[in-house]
Amino acid sequence: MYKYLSKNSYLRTYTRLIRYQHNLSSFQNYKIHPRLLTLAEEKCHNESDNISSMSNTQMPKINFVQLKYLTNAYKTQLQELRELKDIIGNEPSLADDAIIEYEQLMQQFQHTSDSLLHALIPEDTTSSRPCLLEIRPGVGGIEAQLFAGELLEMYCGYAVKHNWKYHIAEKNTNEMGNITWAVLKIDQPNSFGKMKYEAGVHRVQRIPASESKGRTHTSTAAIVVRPIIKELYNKNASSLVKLNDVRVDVMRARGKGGQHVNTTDSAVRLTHLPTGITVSMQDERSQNRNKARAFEILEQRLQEREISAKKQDLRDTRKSQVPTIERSEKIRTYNFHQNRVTDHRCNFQTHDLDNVMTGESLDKLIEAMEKYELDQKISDLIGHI
Amino acid sequence: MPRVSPTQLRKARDVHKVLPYLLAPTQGSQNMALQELRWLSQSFKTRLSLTWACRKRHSNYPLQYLLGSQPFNNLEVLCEENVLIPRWETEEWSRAISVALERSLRPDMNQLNIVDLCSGTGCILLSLLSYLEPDQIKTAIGVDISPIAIELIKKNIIFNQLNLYDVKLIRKDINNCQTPIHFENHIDILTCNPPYIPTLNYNSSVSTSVKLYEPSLALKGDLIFYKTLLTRYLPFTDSFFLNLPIVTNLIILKHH
Ligand SMILES: C[S@@+](CC[C@H](N)C(=O)[O-])C[C@H]1O[C@@H](n2cnc3c(N)ncnc32)[C@H](O)[C@@H]1O
Repeated sequence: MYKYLSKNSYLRTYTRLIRYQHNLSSFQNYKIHPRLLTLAEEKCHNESDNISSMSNTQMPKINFVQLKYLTNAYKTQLQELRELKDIIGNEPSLADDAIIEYEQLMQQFQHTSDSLLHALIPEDTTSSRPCLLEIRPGVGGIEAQLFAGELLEMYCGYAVKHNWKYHIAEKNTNEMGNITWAVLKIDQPNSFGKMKYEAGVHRVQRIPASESKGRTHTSTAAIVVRPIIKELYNKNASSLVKLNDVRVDVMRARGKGGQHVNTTDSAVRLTHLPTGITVSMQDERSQNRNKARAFEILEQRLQEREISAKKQDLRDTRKSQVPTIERSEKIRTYNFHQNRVTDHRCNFQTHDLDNVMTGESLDKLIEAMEKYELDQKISDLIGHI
Repeated sequence: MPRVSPTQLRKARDVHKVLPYLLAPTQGSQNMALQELRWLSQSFKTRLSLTWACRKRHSNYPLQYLLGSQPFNNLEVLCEENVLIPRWETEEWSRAISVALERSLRPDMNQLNIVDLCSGTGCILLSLLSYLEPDQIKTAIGVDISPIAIELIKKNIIFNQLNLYDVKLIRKDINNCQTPIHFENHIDILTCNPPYIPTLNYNSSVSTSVKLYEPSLALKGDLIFYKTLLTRYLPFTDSFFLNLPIVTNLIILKHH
């Protein structure tokens, strides 16, 4: 199976040849795989009688008018580019003007081609949501806990860099003050689209401060990222949480309450009786706020259960050929000794670990994953035709 | 108060130098102590001031007086010595009133007259207001015997940006005045969280921190308050919300 053109090495060689001859930018890199183009044409063509078959493909709803427009624009522009190139090569007297025109058209063509590609690729609707990011230390004891804390800082730093609204919704620490579980809530539309690539097991390789013999240890931390579908816990919305199903425990000191004591313990624990899920929250000084946040988190958990149940159904029925990234897989390695971060999914490496850990350069990894995912989707699409 | 064991103290000390101070006021729960340490260190930024604050806390000085405030529903209520710190039960109680109110409000209703007796920090009155629009209120009245409380309510109005609401504050002993507050007018909503701990067993029933640092004026209360409320105020109102010691839940006494 061959991927879309920018990935094809034989075309790269061809591109270099053209550049050498005329110093022109090449449209070859922006050409769309012929099978994709055929798909686009078919879709436009069958627009009316295709509605029934649409429902069982993975294709999202397509704006046919836009698709038609883009497909036509793509073809005409490509044709014009070809002609211009021909002129430039064969008619020296016209070449100067043609080159200018070519370069202008080239820019339009890039844009058309990108848009066409995006119109064809199933858009992930949850990408536009804000998200919750959950961090837990994995294997490696204290090292893993420290690393979990550093990851939390990395995501906070990343959020700050992008001016995202966020807060640490939950942070449980052990006696030593190390993180055992933390939830970062990012109240930023589209943040799920970026953070979803963070889900999975992150591995750290370094010599812990406590290690006297200078041996490198390997520890892990696991990250789960969930889109926030409903913004806030809302008892009258079509919430998954039914108030009657939830037991609310407040962990106030026993004995006399009210005016007799002034307790500062504002912790709240929710138990969702049908599923047995419990959520504890104690960060805020207000019991009400702890309760509201606990309900938000419970809602998220239930949503996630539903989503994963649905996904399982899909998988069972379709036996998906698409290789999916499972949560349990190790996705990234942070090697402190070599100042290197490797993403194992897209085989991307950067030797800028320090800046990645502050969140400053995390975009490098996220962008690599975005590109990788786009490639994946395109090759899936071609494979499915 | 349970005694904190030396092992616990040592363990806490390993986590943070000042953490042991916070174990006693949190009944020996290291988790709670850590939580308090986190809150305190947000206000006390230098090591010296943090140590001072933790020592204060060790002597049962209320956390809210140290931090200067307590969250209360929508509000951040300022707290100062000599004025009772709002309790979480009261917070829930006020919220319940607001929820009940929201349900019964009609768009064509007249503007409301609200009176809160024994206001203290003003938390109940101001929390009610925060769920309403300024033009839904005709007058809101807060009453307290303590001049310090009255001053604090003023600060709380400004601090919580409620200046747009028409609030009157009256310093008065509700048990000892000829005319009750108001009133030529009718009271739409009357709330009160009166002092309710009987004078007789006051010393044996309140916790150390409360006894040492919170005003007994706000807490010691005998039957006279109920008598006053029932005879002098109830006749003026449709909805009377009284925060009672045992049934801390919402009590609505309606009379027509
Ligand atoms: C239990 S506190 C309630 C404070 C506040 N409403 C709250 O819920 O946190 C009682 C308040 O009543 C005030 N008070 C005590 N005796 C009073 C009296 N005779 N007349 C008016 N106010 C009085 C006290 O100053 C105190 O602020």
